[in-house]
Amino acid sequence: MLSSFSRRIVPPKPDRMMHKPKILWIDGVGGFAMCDASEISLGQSFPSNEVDLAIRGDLSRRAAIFRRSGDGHWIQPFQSVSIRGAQIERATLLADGDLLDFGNRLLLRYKRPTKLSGTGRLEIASQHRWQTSLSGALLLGESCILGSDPSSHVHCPNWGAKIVLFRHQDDWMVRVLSSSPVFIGNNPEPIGAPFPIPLGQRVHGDDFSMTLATR
Amino acid sequence: MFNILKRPPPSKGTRNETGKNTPDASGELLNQFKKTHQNLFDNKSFSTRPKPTDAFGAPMKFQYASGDSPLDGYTIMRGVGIGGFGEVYFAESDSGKEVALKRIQKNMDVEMRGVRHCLNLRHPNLVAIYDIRFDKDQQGWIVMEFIEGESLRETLDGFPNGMPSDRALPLFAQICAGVTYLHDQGIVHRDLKPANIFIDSSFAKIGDYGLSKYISASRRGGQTESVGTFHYMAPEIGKGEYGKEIDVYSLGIILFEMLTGNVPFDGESTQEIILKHLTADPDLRDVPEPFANIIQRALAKNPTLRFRDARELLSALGYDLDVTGLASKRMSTQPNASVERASSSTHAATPRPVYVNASGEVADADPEYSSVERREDVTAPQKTGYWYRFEKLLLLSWEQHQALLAKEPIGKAVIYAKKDLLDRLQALSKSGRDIAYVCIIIVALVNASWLVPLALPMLAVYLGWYVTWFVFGNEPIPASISHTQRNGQKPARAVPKLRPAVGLQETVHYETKEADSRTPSTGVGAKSSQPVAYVKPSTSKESWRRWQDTQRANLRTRGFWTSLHATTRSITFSGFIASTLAIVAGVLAYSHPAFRENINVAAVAWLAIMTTASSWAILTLSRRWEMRDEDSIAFRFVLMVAGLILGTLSYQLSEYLLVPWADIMSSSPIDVSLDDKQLSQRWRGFYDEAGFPLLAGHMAYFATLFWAVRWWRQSDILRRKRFSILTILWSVLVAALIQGIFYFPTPWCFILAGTTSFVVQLASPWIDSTRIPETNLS
Repeated sequence: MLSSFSRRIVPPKPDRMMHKPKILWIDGVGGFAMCDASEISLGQSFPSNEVDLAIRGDLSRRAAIFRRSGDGHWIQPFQSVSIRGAQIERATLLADGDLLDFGNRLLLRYKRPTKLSGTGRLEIASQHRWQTSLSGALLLGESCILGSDPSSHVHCPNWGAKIVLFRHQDDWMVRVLSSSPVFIGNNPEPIGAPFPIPLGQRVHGDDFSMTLATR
Repeated sequence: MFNILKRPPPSKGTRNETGKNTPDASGELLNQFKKTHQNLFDNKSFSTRPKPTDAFGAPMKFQYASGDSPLDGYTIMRGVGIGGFGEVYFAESDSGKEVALKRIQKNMDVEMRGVRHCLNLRHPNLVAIYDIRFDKDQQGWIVMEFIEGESLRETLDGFPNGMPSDRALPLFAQICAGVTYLHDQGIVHRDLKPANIFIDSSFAKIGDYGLSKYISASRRGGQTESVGTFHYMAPEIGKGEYGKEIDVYSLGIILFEMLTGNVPFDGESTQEIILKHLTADPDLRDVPEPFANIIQRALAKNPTLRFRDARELLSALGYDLDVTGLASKRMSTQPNASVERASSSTHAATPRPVYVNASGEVADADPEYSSVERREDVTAPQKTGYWYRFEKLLLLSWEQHQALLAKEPIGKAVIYAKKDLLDRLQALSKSGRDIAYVCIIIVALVNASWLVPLALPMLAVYLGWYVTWFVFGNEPIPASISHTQRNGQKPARAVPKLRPAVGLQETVHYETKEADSRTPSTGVGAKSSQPVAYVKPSTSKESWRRWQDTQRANLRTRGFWTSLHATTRSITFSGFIASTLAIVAGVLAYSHPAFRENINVAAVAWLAIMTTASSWAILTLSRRWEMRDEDSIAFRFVLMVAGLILGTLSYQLSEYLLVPWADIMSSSPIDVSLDDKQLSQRWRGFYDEAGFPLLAGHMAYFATLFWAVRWWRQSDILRRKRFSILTILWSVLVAALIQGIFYFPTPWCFILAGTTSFVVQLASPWIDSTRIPETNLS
């Protein structure tokens, strides 16, 4: 696995533009970049830079790429990055709690709340901000859990409901585990079965509301 | 409307015992508070407890969704929270500026005026206000700095046992710096609380200033106030006083919470919390010095005894403001001097607080504000005088009385004798002890007829002596008197003069190298928190309560059948004991010479049946109640009703059994000195011509007895001891006292109370706290 990745810069594949991360705005909780592509690029935020995850900070135009695999996410660095005190040169599998140090300035923390899902969460641990202030970026595996349980990928402290997002073919589906009805947008009809996550429309229930938005 | 307030204070669960003794005296203040803040009580859903992880109150329902732009030029990204004054959103301007938008609901002019007054304030520790805008519907919006981080509330929830002081202090100093800036601008925040303080990239930022000062003037019903407000409210707010001292008070509470993880004054109801603010002393045992001293002064009930403003508080903590208005740790080696300097310079430089009243005029709301007078207050000599000492004596808590009794010669002797007796009993084996207890109770019951009438006058005489001894003696008033300030009097002990940073340097250790070298070798003593002197630390009592709370929660999860089984078993058991006991008591009574001729089977039967019935009533009710939190008033009421029914039963029973009360009484060794005629005249319908209780008399006696004794405690599965002799004696004593009001033939009324207590305790299930290893009783 390790050897299959090149140390050289991989040119962005054309289809990746289709998977440009969207942002999940969760009211009362935060905003999260939903990175579901197999490759996610990270770089400095400036107007012409077409990276998936842009950070307002002193780092390279393209600082690293995150790749999804069956057993989690790998980081492929393009600039000086160290994990657990050691400079990394080649693709490295991220483990829960890893602190990624980009050039002694930017610190990113990788969290993988549960082993059962390949989904991980990136948060900024230094005094930097995402372009458009976010709470974090979700490097999505096959599913993602939102709820009050600390082992959720997105911790939503006041929720009674639990939401599972899961990949279904090319789409992301929403399953809401809640005792109260769930609505989409202004539609007065509650929705029951898992449904594809609507873009730009609010999904809301008794104690939660969220919207998936394009950037 | 004032449902919450109408409930009298629950006498249970007062972790701080002092709170419950003074409901009457505090009632007036409470009413004032109620008047001033009735709007706060309007909302029935008001929660008094700060919910963990919830800075704004759930559930969150936001009117606008991501992508909406109710205000021209701004697009909403997401809802952030819902505070006391409206929804807060994270939004981006068209050009990409990230802001927080706060929608002021109902667009109240007053609120807008308040914000406008603060629009151009600028300090790193304040959440910046950029602008005020109105949307198409003339809804007001405040455009503010967007804070990425969490609120102090959320931070504190992550530290249930308090933050380490080296982390808390820099943060708290920043908060003080922000408040100092407000104070220097002549603005009182009025609503400082962790939910209003945000931490953004390790900057503490205070929000909601400019809004909160109108809380009292403009609170609307139905709009949920941010939870937990009462925990941070100074007592004098009830009187409508809004000086800088109320911010100092709130800061004191916040510092306490940061260091310990709890607010100093907490309670089940709003009223309990307010009462504690008014009367209780903060429990500073867990707070290391010098913070304990500082918090104590910041939380003084009398505002004039507090720090005058945030700057003085900051100074006491060993911080100064630098030229930019930021808090910086003081490097001075003479902290005392600098406190004085800081306070005197503050005094000269600080303008008096200015208030903007509801009509927008700047008004001087505090004409009595005079710092000079305040200085004198602090150093005023302690008042003396007999009347003063008498008043103080009335206000002492039970613990303080105990401390006093241990010094009073007769009390000392009695305490010594009691201790000696208990020691001897402890030396016996467990069964031996039980037998001894049973013997004592039987002897006591049999002799109750002369013991009680003898003991009561003796007790009264002693009480008189005790008061005289204290009032005219030289015994110092015990420290930590909590109720002294309720009438605006000075506390018994002047707040000790602060010696701030001397201890501070030993406590906090993030100074520079230079500072470290100065620090004495005890510098590591930082973590060894030094408990503050406090009268009778009742740690075991608290841990006991904690244990009770956990166990009580477990009880609730018990199934229906399990509890039913427990009830039936104790009821059956109690029947056996009651009958046995009554017979034994009857036989023993017979052996007493005075009773010998008059042993009466009917009376013994009456005793047996009444004991059984009484204990059944208590047991059934207690089994239902033991799963609940104690609600003394309600329980007493229900018991009183049960007493009425039992009284009826007692009367019918005496009629049916033809209990010859007259014979019994005439043969009683102690002729109870009540004039029969007087009785029947005073209590018309309660007693017959001869002075024997009629139906109403029976009912009155039983109802009072059941109301007066907290029987459910004797039957509580979580009571401290399986069987307590003192509890029985207490029941008998109360029965004797009631007998003074509603006469009932002696000694049967005492015996009944004693046997009932005996039976109830013996028949009730019990969980031995010492045998449950997983509970933490340390």
